[in-house]
Amino acid sequence: MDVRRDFPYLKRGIVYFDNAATTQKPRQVIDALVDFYENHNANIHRGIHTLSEEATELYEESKRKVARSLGVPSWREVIYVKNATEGLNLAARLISPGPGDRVVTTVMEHHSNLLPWYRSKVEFVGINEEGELDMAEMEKKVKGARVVAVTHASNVLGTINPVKEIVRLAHDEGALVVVDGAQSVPHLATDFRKLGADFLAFSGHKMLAPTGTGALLVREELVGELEPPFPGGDTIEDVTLEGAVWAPLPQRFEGGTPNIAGAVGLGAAVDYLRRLGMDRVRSHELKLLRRFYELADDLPLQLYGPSERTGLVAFSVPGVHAHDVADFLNGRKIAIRSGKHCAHPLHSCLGARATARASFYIYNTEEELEQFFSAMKELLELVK
Amino acid sequence: MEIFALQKKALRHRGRRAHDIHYTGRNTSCGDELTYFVKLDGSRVADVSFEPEGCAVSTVFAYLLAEKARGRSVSELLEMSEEDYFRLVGMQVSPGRVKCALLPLVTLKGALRLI
Repeated sequence: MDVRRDFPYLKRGIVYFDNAATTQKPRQVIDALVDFYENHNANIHRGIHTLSEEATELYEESKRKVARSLGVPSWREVIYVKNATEGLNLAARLISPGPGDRVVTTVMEHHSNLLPWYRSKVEFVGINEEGELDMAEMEKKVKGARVVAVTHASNVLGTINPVKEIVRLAHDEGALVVVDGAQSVPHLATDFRKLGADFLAFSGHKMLAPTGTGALLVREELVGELEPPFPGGDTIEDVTLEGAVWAPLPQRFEGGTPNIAGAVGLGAAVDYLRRLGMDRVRSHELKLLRRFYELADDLPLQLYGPSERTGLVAFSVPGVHAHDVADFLNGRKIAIRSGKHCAHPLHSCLGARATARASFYIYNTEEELEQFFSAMKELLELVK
Repeated sequence: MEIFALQKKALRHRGRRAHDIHYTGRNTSCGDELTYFVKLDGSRVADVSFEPEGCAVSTVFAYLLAEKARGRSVSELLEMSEEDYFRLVGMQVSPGRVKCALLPLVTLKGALRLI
């Protein structure tokens, strides 16, 4: 993909394969941040002056871009948060399941889609040997559930879960569906309306946008009348000594001054990906995955997860701890992730203390994969 | 010597010898474990043996600390700062590996607190 000239980080000469943690930022996003602070900086929604009006317009335009690109019927259903974790916690606060309610989730979740539900009765759907969700178990467990909380794509296995099918099963049982889109929205064309989920959270910083950006997509008819979990500035129409009249969405759920510049940067990132096309993003990652498998073929690596996956691969080198793999590669200017990737239960299921993970994005190349595997061969030779 | 060669050397010295106390320390975030077996001689450490289940860094530091702890007083080891520990062991690590390198110190202190 002809995008590398847009990414200033490349001058560091680092092969960056830690995109599932956060992606690098293109010049266009950095410029949008600088332009905001240099030319339009003010607080939003309250000033009757030019800069405030410009800032408000830029902030809301960012939401319109997100709504358009992710199939959200109204920009008012885009609640900005600082990351997917905050989005999932906000969803849990809004639904507020009680201790007696059943929440069905999966063993492959990131902790961010587990811990917010632990106040209720949590039941886990397992995975098969390939690392795919056991849909027969899902069908059984969903009966009588209040919430189904599921990741669209696993941050370790790369598994892409059949969210539409899960939504159908859950809605038949009257359960709400909360989707963790942190690892899917940056990599797969996403249509919130077509998925049919009730909530979907994602992080902007995993899709070229600045850190501190993300969104929870909601359905106004479900949450439009709910009390704000974090009331304060911007969440109200009126306040008296007795109480408050709450503002409509989305301000209702966005207490205090938000990350305005970050939101403008997220809008620029969405523009960038739209120009590129999510289909091209996906086909580029599939090309890299194919090359990864080819190069890994004759090496004694254990690879986790199914063949149908997003652009990441978790792996183990027998006899070498994942941190040592990452440390060694870092010495060769290759950045990967190691550890349990905020998915401790999944690592218990896999029987792995820790795994190494290489995750790709639009600026990565096959040449970088060759560099990676040449370093891996060097490592395997050293630990023989 | 690079870390994997040091690890091989450390692993040649692993094992459990006669001891008065033992303690297992864990870094739950990465799954590493280390057990120290400590033989005492009054208020001093007479011998330290170890069983590591972890990365190269924690294994190498476990071996080096076991070697250096022998003959030292229990109170000196319990009071040892992180800075003194890295000086004693004679190795430094990058910021991302500090937690791996500290597992032996935390584990040895855990063992000595059992006295």
